[in-house]
Amino acid sequence: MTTLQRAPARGVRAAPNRPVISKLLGISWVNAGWIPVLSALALTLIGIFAISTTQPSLAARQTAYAAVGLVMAAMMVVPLPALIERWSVRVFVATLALLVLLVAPGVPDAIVRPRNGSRCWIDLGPIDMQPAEFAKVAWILASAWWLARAADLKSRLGITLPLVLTAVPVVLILMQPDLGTALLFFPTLLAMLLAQGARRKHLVIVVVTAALLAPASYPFLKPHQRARIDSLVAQIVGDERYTRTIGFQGDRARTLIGAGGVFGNAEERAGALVKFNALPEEHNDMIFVVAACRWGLLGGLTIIGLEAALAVGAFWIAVSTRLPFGRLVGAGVGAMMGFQAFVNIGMTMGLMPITGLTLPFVSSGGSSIVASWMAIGLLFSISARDARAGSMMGGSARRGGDA
Amino acid sequence: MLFVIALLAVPVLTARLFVLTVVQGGRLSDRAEERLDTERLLPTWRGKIVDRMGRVLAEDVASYDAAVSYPLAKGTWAYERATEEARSALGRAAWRALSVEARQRETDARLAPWQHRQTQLHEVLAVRGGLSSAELEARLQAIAARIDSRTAAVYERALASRRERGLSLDIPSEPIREMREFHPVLRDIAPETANELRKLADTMPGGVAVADATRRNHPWEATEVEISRERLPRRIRTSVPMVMRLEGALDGLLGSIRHETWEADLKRRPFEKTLDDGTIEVDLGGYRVGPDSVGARGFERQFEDTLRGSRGQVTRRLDTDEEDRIAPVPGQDVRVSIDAQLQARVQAAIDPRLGLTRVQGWQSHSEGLRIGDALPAAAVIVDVATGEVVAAASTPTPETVTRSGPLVVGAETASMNRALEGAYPPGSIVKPLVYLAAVAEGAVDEGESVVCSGHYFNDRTDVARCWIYRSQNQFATHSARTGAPLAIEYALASSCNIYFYTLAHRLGAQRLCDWYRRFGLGTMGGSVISSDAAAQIDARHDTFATISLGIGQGPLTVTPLELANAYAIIGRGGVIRPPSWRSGGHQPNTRLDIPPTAIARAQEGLRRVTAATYGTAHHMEYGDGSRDPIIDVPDVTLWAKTGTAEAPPLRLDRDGDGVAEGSFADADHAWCVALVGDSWNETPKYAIAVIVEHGGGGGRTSGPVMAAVIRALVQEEYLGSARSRVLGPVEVGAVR
Repeated sequence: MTTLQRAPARGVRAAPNRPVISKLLGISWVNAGWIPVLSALALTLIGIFAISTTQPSLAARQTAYAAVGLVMAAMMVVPLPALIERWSVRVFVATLALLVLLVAPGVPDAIVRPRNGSRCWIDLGPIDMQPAEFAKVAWILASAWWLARAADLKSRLGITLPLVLTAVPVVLILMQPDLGTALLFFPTLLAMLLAQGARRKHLVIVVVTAALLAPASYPFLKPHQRARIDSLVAQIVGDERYTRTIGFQGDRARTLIGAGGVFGNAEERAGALVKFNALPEEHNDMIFVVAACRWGLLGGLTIIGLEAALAVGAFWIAVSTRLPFGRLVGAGVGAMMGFQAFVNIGMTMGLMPITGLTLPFVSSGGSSIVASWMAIGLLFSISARDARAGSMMGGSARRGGDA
Repeated sequence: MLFVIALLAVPVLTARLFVLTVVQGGRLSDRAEERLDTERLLPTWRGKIVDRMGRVLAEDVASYDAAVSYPLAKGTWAYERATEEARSALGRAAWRALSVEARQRETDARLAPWQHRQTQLHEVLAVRGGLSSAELEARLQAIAARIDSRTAAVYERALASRRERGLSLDIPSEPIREMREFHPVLRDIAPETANELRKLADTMPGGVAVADATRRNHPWEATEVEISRERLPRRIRTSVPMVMRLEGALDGLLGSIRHETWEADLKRRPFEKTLDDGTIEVDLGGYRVGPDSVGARGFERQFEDTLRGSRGQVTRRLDTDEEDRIAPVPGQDVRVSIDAQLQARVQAAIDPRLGLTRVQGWQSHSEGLRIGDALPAAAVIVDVATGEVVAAASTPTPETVTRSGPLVVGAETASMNRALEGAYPPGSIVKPLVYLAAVAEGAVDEGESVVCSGHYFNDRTDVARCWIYRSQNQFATHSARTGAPLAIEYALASSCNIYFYTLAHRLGAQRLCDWYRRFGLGTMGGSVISSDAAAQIDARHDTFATISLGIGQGPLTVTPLELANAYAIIGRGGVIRPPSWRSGGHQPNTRLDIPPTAIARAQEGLRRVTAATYGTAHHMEYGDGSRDPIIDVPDVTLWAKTGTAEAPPLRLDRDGDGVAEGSFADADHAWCVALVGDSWNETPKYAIAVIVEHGGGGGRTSGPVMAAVIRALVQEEYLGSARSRVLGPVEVGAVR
């Protein structure tokens, strides 16, 4: 098994020996950060085309958001990662404040407009902001900051405390309620603990306990959540009883993915199929379905491959960097985006119950794409400032020493 | 470790994607594709029923139905509208955020105007439909109940299928198609009512609709018939003709349509049939659950498949708006064998208002009956050449019961057409058949004579007697009157029992019953004991049972149509041609192996029934000794037979309390069956069977009815007119 190694020292600044052209920013252009950047860029483009299949007007907005995201990503490259590290807790507290605002009693609907029964959005006039998307990134940063300084992760307390701290944003997000987003935090935390060298035994205990507790939680779920799990199980055993009720979305999603075949359908036809099969949330949570219907097996594989490349790229950066903060951010961002993509694609194909989760960079949604691009910018910044000629060939940190 | 996890996730997703797009791709693609098509059915028209002259008896005409939605029938419409209004006023999100109590409050606040409209609609429907509010409510409830039970049945089926497949039974009951459709509550509403309702419908979305419909129109629903009474029996004879209005004279034959399909229809001809390979075959003429027009009785049912037609279908491609159209195929018209005008005249002849089917003084009626009692009766006419049934009338009809109040006999069976469905012992009517069977079987020589000794058994004078051997006739016998043994012609004309006892005895029960069946008896509603059962009678040498069968008594019942058909076979010289209800069809025919000379002798015997003074339908004698011919129709030749059949005891309940005051064994059924042709042409053209239930003697009671029926044939120019008949469109309307 691959293990992420601890960097030799903390707070090490970027290496001084860089190409002249990058000196202004203090970055190296040749680095592993390009893997997530290029993957995200490709996914963003695929997303825009997929959205335009059914919602051309949304595709235009998505393009604008993507542009904003790219600018924000570029801006994330400017400050030194150390500066970001120093500000991370403050940023996290600020996003927590926004999360509190969403669920605080007495907040007028004009500010927090409920949609589909959830209080996830802050009304900013022409656009809405979804604080949870930014909170995800801010939490990774804050956790990285904390874990990089944490005393002893090998002790039981060392591993319990981060879990408890993670519970704060999770509880706030659950109150919106947004179960899907909340569920992303713990696997991400696990990945970060793993990256920081927590005892595998402890982590295994946590994972096994969670795995054992998961079925036990079934009776405590809300009826509609239980029904979703029921419909998932039913669908797997070929029982079509939920296809008109709670399983409707999943059934239509699988049907449309299947309709994509190997090579997909022409744009107009794919649009018609999606429209008249009445797939709900097709531009959003279900964007993978539209893409698969449009570009078939090949398109679906491309998206899966790009999402995987993005996660793997992030892990690579985590492995490469000598910055403990950077390593933790790389592991966190990679784990979160990879897990989110896996759950999203899995749920469209009936491998998992349907929860409100977007597909990173592909789904329509401003906050999501901007926050995601900011995370990619940060990864690039970490990678670029830490990169050396051989870093993209792997294992520079392990070899130790500067070029 | 993270790399491994990340790289493990990829093949899982890839494998699943492969399964969906490649392994199941075709099936899922078809499913997705199907949803791009919507299908709509186009109504068709039912074919017309026309009579043999081309007169329209039943046809579809455009009409309007007032139809209500399921929520309106169920009574939940106003509440649903108020809820919908509240939801859209508050916005879906805000609505969702409300508690159940708060939603209830919001709905209640908006309920009053919707309830007002619902009440208003109820009033309009009740007033325009001529219903009390309770009746309307009952109709609405019936609609809701039907849909509810259908929903329950669909749910049950889903459960059953799941049980079969071992799946969980915890599923919700799903709404069915009928819950989204409108259901007729008032049929065939006036155009003004339709307009009024359309306006109301605009303010009542999802509540009421005016549906284009078709109504089955019956132009011959009511007819007037003028009947001459100059040649009726003396007591009711008058020079003033009677004008009789008849309602529904054809109803029993035409039958009716029900507006809902039954399980049996769905089974017989389903709209959708799943073939063995799983594909679904659609029969656009097939039956679907819910409202539809289905022939329920009579011709409408008999010719259902011809009349029904086939719906059209429009398949619209949602993405391209292309339409595929299959035009509806209207049902074909059916030309039935009945002549509507003749039918009306025959109906009038047996209507109690004319008097022939009432108990009269000149008849030998049961002591339980009183003069004037209306008796059930039937008459049927079969075209000898073709086997087509030209008229088939029956009394009482449901309309008679409504019009004349309580009847002594037959009210409870008024909806039955006795000419086709009434099964009675045939009595002496079978006698020519017994003779022909005996000759064909070699049991008797054609010209053989038999002595009528008054009683069949030498040692017993009280059973198996000839009808003439009675104390009031001083125990006369036919042979004593003629001074010789009887040949068949005399035996038939005088209806001598001894002659036919003798033949039946020689034939045996089995051969006799087999021959009855060959003549069609017991094959169209009547019953003749089986060959095996008859063989047992022979085996135990039950002579009395055997000879009784020879005069049409015992385990043997026939319908008037069966007898008319049997006489038509005699009229055709032994050729069988089953009765047909369609005009101009080709009937298969077979010939009975009977010597033509025997048939000629039998026909001569029948001719003498009215022609010879000793014939049983030659004349009737009044109390003063004066006589009138029974069947007095000029220019026709008649081959007739009368029959006085012992009937099951007549139970009379005059006060209608459900308890019979008396039971009378002497109330015989009166038969008269005849072949009739033009006087200048000795060929039988029509076979007619008439019965008057409990009418007593066949000659005196049914004879005059037979005369009236033959006069109807003459008046309609089926007989007696030298001119060749012009068949073609005849103005529809009253028979004056």
